[in-house]
Amino acid sequence: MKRLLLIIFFLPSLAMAQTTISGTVTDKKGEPVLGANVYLKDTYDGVSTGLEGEFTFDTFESGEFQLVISSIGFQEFTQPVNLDGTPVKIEATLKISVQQLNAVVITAGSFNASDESKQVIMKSLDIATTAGATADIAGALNTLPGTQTVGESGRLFVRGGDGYETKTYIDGMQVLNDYSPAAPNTPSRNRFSPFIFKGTSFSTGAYSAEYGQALSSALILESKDVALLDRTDISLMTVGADVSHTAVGDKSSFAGKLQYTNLTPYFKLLDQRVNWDKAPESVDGNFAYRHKTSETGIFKIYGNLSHSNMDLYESEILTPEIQVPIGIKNNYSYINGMYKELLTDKLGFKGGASFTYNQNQFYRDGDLADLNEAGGHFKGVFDYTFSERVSLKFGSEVFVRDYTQEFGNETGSFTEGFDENIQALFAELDVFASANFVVRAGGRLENNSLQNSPRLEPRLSMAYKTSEYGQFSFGYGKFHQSVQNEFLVSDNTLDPEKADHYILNYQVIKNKRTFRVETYYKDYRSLIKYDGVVNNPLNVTTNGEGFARGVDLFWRDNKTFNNVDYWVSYSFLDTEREYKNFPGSFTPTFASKHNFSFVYKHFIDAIDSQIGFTYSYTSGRPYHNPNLDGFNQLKTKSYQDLSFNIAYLLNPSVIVYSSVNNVLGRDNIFGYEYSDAPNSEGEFVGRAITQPAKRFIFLGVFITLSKDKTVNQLPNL
Amino acid sequence: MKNLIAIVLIALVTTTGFANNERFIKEMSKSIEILYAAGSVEEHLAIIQKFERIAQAEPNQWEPRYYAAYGYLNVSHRFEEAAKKDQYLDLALEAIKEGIAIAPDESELYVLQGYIHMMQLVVDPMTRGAQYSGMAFAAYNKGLELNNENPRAWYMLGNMQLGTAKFMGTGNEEGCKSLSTALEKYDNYTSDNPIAPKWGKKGLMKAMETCNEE
Repeated sequence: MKRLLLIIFFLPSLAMAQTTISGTVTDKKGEPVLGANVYLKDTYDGVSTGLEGEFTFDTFESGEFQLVISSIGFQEFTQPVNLDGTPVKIEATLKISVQQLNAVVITAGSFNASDESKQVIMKSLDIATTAGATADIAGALNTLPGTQTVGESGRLFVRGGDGYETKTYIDGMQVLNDYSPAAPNTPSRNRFSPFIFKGTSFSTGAYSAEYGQALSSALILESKDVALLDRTDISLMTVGADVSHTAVGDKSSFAGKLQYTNLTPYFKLLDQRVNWDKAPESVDGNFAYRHKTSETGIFKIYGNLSHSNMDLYESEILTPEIQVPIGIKNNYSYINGMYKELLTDKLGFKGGASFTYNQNQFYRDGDLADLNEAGGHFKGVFDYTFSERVSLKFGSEVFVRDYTQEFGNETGSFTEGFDENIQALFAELDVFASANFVVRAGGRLENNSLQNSPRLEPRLSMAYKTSEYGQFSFGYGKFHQSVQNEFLVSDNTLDPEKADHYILNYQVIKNKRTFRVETYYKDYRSLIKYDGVVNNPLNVTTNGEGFARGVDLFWRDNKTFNNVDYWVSYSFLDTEREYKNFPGSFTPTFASKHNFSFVYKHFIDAIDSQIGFTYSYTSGRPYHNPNLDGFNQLKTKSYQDLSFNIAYLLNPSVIVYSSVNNVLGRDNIFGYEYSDAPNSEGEFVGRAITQPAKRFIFLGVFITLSKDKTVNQLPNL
Repeated sequence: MKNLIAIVLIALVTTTGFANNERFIKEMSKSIEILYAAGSVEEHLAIIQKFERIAQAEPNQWEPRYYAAYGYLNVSHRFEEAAKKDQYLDLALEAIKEGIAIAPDESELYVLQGYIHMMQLVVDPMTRGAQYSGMAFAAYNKGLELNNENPRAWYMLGNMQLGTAKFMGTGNEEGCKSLSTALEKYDNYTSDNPIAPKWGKKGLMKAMETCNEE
């Protein structure tokens, strides 16, 4: 027993035997890794490597231990060591980590704007401060390459695609009818304010398998997380007013906004080309609730409700004295809920649901149309990380849509509609062959209840880093989108429209300067084709086809000039389609060959103001003159616009903001429309489609009330 | 006899237990001194790695994470390039988050978190101004809420208020008031934690020069 005691007393001193651990750390090429942290796991003992990657340290520990070597940009190295007083020698070779900060990323086709990640081309704020955009998301994105200005629509037309081919998603959930209705041939605005989003990913093609039912482009918006400060904002504008309030709790926040817009006073003051009976008036309510469910989890609900109406007179083309009364009423509600959580270290989950209800009521000279669309979207996505190099995203989603349209006049009415149900499964595997090369391969399997034939959409992209700042990207994908409601309603069995995208991209981002060039080819199949005229299509099929190809260039410089940020975009587009009632393959009327934008922003300290201007150029668009032989024979003049804006900080909580579109007052013509029947001389009479007014002038005062006097709406402008 | 063995064993375990804590304090104090004296990037990184080693051996102590973050913050000051600054500020933030996970009620951690956000803001004030100033203020306020006597919380809050006042072209009163509160707290504040942060007074005196000029 005494011996036992003895052992116990001597145990600590036995443990005092010292072991020296030494060695060198190199990378795969044999280059020394300096400044790596070498230590025994769960002890204080260790050292940093020197210039030659060498290290040596002593430890009083004994027994089995793990030696760990860690260094930024490398995978952690561990090796068991036995400490018994005999010196230990370690020669470690570290593997490069693909998770390093400047690893390759897939960029083909996509423009990411985010406040969080740093290597992005545009930030959310850029959208709001672009002159000419008047804080409209589509307006700002129209200054990026791959898009083109279609002034009478206001939507995003991407790479030879029509406006409806771009779909919007908020927190991964689909939004239907994301543009407010507008009078005929006047631009509509996106319903969602850019200020509620922290990130924007604008994809001009070959996007992830997670997104379907968009033929040309996906606009993926990510809403802000839990707000940090209580605040109240009041805005007084030439077009209306709004008030919003944000209340912050421990782990959650609630924000609500009420907006009233009425263009009557503005239209009274400044001459309009549209003959308004009742200028557009709308009431909008927005709310957002966010709750942080855990360190890694978040739950979000967002809702938007609005009502708008307008009445106007449109003169007949043939006899302009005849004024046809037109009325437009819209009721809209959108609600979106999502939940995101990291279930384990390796498994993440994101799920959500969204509901859209849209009612458009059109009145035209005794004829009434009542269009109702209700849609739901449900989605669940898992993200599993097998290793640093391999991860898998997979999920499933369901879209349901119920559409009815009722046409009526004094003599009676008729109703038709459809119920569509689309189920989809998707999966995508990311493999980093090295920190410089990544491949993403996946696919999407979709079944539409109306045609009941499953369709497979393969997707493939890869990126290769050629230097520290430059990289090539390639993207391919097959896409389907249900034909437009007006056709689907009369023939439920029409196949969806199809497009194949091929994209090659090169990009360099270095110290606040970005250069990017992208070339693409798009193959359209199964487009709508019919006989007869647009207003009365006959023999509708999906035998149409077409193509679009082009080159996009982008340059952004935030560095060369102090307090100045500018970007330049140029897009070349060559596209033809044989669709609708085209008698052959022709360039559609919305497409223009050359698009150019120059955006300039300058913060001037001396006057506490940010000024900006945007110049846009769009070459002439084709149009059809029925008095001449051939089809789409003529081209409009080019479109040019110079817009200017200024935000002036009156004091820390008040901002005065003003913008003017088309400063030079150029008479832009978007196209021509012709009378249905010839006049007495046998001529079809044409009328130019122009801007609704020469200029658009906006003036607003934005007031922020907050406990912190330094918070204001400047970043919102 | 068996009792004796038990007593010896208990004694042994508790003394090594004490020894561990003593060793922790000793190693930390030594390292903190080195950190405060560090000049170059390399010196900083070497001592940061020491804190990281202590951190992985002491999963329940917030201080090694705090000082690693403080070290990374200092390293970020030594670079001009935005991407480099961001890289080290991200590392600092990561360390602070680990610390907060261990000690969610420790005022000092939030003060340093606010400081990091403030430096992230400075990298690109035009685009980050709104978001990061909100984050910095929220962190300082949280720090004050947890310990109203913390001089560093007042000092950093005052700094932030002065910075925004300069940006907005308004008066210094609010910021200077916070700074003088900070000075008062520095003179009176004691912590029973022997390895509690002590930095800031020198910087405060310098910052106060702006206030004394007027």
